Formats: sequence, C-alpha cells, structure tokens
Amino acid sequence: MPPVDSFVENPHWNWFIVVYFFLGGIAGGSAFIGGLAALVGGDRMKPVLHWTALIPFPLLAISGLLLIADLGRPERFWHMMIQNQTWWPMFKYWSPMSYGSWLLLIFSGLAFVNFAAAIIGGRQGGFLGRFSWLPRVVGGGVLGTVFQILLLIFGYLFASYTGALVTATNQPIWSDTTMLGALFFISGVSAALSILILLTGWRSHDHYIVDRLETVDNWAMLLELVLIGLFLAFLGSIAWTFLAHRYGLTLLIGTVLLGLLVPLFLHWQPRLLGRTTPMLAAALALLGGYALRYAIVYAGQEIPIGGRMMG
Amino acid sequence: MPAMGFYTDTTVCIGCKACQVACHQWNDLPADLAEQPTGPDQPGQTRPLTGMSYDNTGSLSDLNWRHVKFIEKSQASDGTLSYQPTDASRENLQWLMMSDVCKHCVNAPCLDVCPTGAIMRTEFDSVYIQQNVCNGCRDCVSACPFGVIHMGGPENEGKGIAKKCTLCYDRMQHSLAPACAQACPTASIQFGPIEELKTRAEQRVNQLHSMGMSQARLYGADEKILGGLNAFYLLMDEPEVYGLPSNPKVPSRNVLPTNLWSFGSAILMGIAGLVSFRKRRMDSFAQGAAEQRRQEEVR
Repeated sequence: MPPVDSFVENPHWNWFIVVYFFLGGIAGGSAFIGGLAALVGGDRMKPVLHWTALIPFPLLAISGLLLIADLGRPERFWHMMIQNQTWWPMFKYWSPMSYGSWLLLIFSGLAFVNFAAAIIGGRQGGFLGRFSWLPRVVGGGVLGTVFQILLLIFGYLFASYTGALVTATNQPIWSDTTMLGALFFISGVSAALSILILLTGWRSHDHYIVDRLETVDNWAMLLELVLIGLFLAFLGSIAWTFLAHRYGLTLLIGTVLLGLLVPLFLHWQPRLLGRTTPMLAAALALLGGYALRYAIVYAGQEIPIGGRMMG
Repeated sequence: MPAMGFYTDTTVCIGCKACQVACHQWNDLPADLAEQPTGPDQPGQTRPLTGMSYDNTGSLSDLNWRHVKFIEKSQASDGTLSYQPTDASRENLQWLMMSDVCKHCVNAPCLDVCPTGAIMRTEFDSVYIQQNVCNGCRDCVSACPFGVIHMGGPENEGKGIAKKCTLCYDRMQHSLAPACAQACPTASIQFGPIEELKTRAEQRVNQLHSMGMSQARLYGADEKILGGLNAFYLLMDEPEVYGLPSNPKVPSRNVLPTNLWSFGSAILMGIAGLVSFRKRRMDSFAQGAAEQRRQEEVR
C-alpha cells in the first residue's frame, strides 16, 4: 500500500452528535410507537400514549441545543433553513443535513403540541385551562387521527434520517453501507420501547402493557440483529478491520451482546430475576442503543482504513 | 463564460513551493505556527519537522490551501515498491512531487451536501465557500473525498468556518490568473479554460508515452472522476500513490437506497406493532363474545 495523505478529513463530530443521535432516535421511535398505539392499540394502550406524548419534545429541545452548540458558528444556526442573503427558504431534498433540519423543526412543532396536550390534560381552570380544547382536538376524532399519523410519519423520518446523514458522506464505514438509516430507526424504536417499559413498569406495574411493549421490542431487536448483519456484510473486507478495533468491539459487546441478545434472553425468561427482569432488559437495550451510535459515529472518523484515512 | 481551472503536470514539478508561498501571500494566510509568540522571550515556533521528505506542512489545512507533496518511491532489486521515507532498505529512489489543491469538481461532493448554500458554483465553474454564510456544520469536510476542506481554527479571522482554495476568485474577476499558477516557475500548474487545458494535457501524455513513459496518465480530465475535475492532474503512478482516490463518489448517491431500506424497516416495524398491539385487543373481543354467548345460553 503506498503512503498517502488522508483522503477524507475527520469532521470531528463528537459526543454532542452521538447524544443527539441517541436522543433523536428515542424521540422519533417514541412518536412512531405512540402513533401505532393510538391508531391500533385501543383504550388498553392509552397509558402508553401519555408517555409517548411527554417524551419526544424535551429530547428534541435538548437535541436542538446540542446541534447548535456543535456548529463552528452557533449564531448562524438559522442558515440551515433560511438563506441569509435572499431570505428564501433553504432546502435540499438530496442533502440529509438540509432536510433533517426541517424534519427537526417540524417534528419539534408536532411534539410540542402533543406535549402541551398531555400537560394540559383535563385541567379546567388557570392559564392552562384556557387551552383545554387542545387535548380534545389531538386526542380523538378525524383531526386526532391525522395528528397521530403525522407524528408516526415524522417520528420515523426523524429517527431514520440520522443514518442517512452519516451515509451521505465519503467517510469510510459510514458511506460503505446503506443500512444505517434503517438501523438507527429500528434502534431508536427499540430504545423508545425500553424507556416506555421502564416508565410503565415502574409507575403502574401494568403487566399487559409491558407484555405488549416487550413483544414489539422482540421484533425490533431481532430486526436490529439482522440489520447489523447486513451492515457488516455491506462493509465487506472492511468489516474485519472495524470489528478488530475498539469501536467494533463496542458494537459487538455493547450493542449485540448486552443490548440485544441479553435483553432477548431476559424477555424469553421473564421470571429469571423476578420483577426486575423487564427493567434490566430495558436498561440494557437502552445502553445498546447508545453503544451503537457511539461505535458508528467514532468508527467512521477514527479507524484508519486502507489508504483513506491517516491520523 | 467557459469553465476555468488548473492542469497540473506533476512531471515538471520541482517542489519549490512557490505556489504555497504565493497562495499564502495573496490570500493573506498566516504561517501555520505550532506555538504563537507570547512575549519577547517566547517568540513562538514553526511546525515541527514532519519527517516526510521535504514536506513541512503535512497536508492541506485551513491555512494551507496549496500543499506540495513529496512522495519518495523506491524499488528494491526484487521489484518490491516502497513509499516510506523511513524505510531503511530503499533503493532506486524516485521523487514524485505534486502540488495539491481543491479540485473544484464538476459534481462537487461538498456543494452537494452543504445545507446552508454557503458552497456555491461561480461563473467560472469553480467551487467557492461564502464565508458570511457558512455556519461550520462540517458536512462538507466529511463529504470531500480529497480531504481538502478544513475548519478555521479559533486563532483565525474566519474561526469555525470551512476553508479551502477559492481558485483566486477575486483575481479571476479582474482577469488575473490565480496566484499559484502565476508563481509556478516550471509551468507545472497551468491555468486557463478547461477545454484548452485538456487538449494540452493529452498532447503532453502522448509525448511522454512516445518517450517510453507509459505510466503517464491523466486524473480527473474526463467525466469518470466526479463528472470531471476543474483542477486535474498528469500523474506518473497510480492515483493512490499521490493521495488521490481512484473512484470518489458523490455523497447523495446513498440517500435514496438508505431511505428505501429505512422505509422497508418502518413497514416491518409497523406490521409488528399492528400485530402486537391489536392481538390482545382481538383476544379481548373474542373473550367478550364468548362471555356474551355464555350469558345467552344461561338465559
């Protein structure tokens, strides 16, 4: 192999981006699960809707702040959406960072409405009482159904775009696969289900809901295992370099073993550790979701592969 | 306005770095110091030696928009090629020199991904970063397959903003050649309309081939590399030897297939949710119906 300068430079996307991908995945996955539960879950799944309404917006608010802080010139964050010279909207459907900025804005708006409706709830008096119509509008009828469908769609788009974002580059590993959008989305759904299991299990010990959420989570985790396999297959010979590196080991141990296989085993043996079993499985699945993003974000930037990267 | 650009004939580069100096001077780029002066007794230092031949700047950077590469190629008696200056067993040394710069690609990956519109194509078909628009998202850094774009450091006037060669846009607007091409003493860097440069480059390749140098080849002169490079090269070895990727890609090629896989996974997840969330509901319907039948039988 001849000596070469670095072909692709390191963009130095640091832990801000890893945390953003993780929180964004949970927010999107949460809205997706909330939409499904609202549309097909019936009354029995209503406690889940309370949490899926409360979870996304705060996470998206933190995400927005992380993204702004990560910019070289944070005061110019709005250039992502408005052209500062013409004041026309800035939008490129072929650039994930461009359409992702719009997704973040629109999804945050929808999540805020859902969050506000959950906070207002059945309050009648005071300041919040003035908006008592909001939960009724978004909670039922045609408008409510349309609203839940929008949340489901934007939750999916938002959770998956982060994978497209890293794939639409020339960084090794990131750009060598087209699996990351699907992988980040499914992982986001799984992480959201884990949080919902933790919240519903901890607050209400509702076995029916925990059981339903675990069933969906099993499917999500199995699908995630398949997608990780496809992701490695897409990498070809690079996969061995990746797996031999500490980030590859993070993916194997943190995500595949601790975040997927152990939780699947615990779902299969729910009485193994008593009532804490689903809680432990959910906590491990969350850890796996974070490990996945950590491993992939840093692997694409730091693993020297062939002649494409040095230093 | 015809597309303008560079044709760099690496066979006549002598590694004088006049291009680097001219670029620094015209664009007012400061020296890349390792340590800034802090007082009369602390005058600061130049960068430490790279240990890579005569190269003292290492790579393109936010302050070095031109970079002369010094590649030491050797071939042992058994035919083994080596490119490592630190390799003690080198024989038959050959120096490959190349002045690297932004390629001003026809299908520019940086321009492709830039979410703010800061990266634009000029009337000369060059790729230019508008400093008052860029917000430092670094998407262009990860998109450029040549490692050209760097972020301005905190010590720079343009801190946190993407930096690269402008093809001396300001000079071109006044019908002047870019500073590097103007300064090059051997005409290794030639500037002009791309079509004229291509003709000149093909003639030079034919000349070298007729002299027995069959390894001479053009890189980026045709459309195979990102639709063509407005800064293309005549090379004497494989592109990778010069730190140039043989098959760079436009980042947006991945967007549609990635989204199709995502959509497929969302459909599967939707079905899983539908079946799981509805199953118990259906069970309860069935249970309710059975209960109703039992009550009717009792009556």
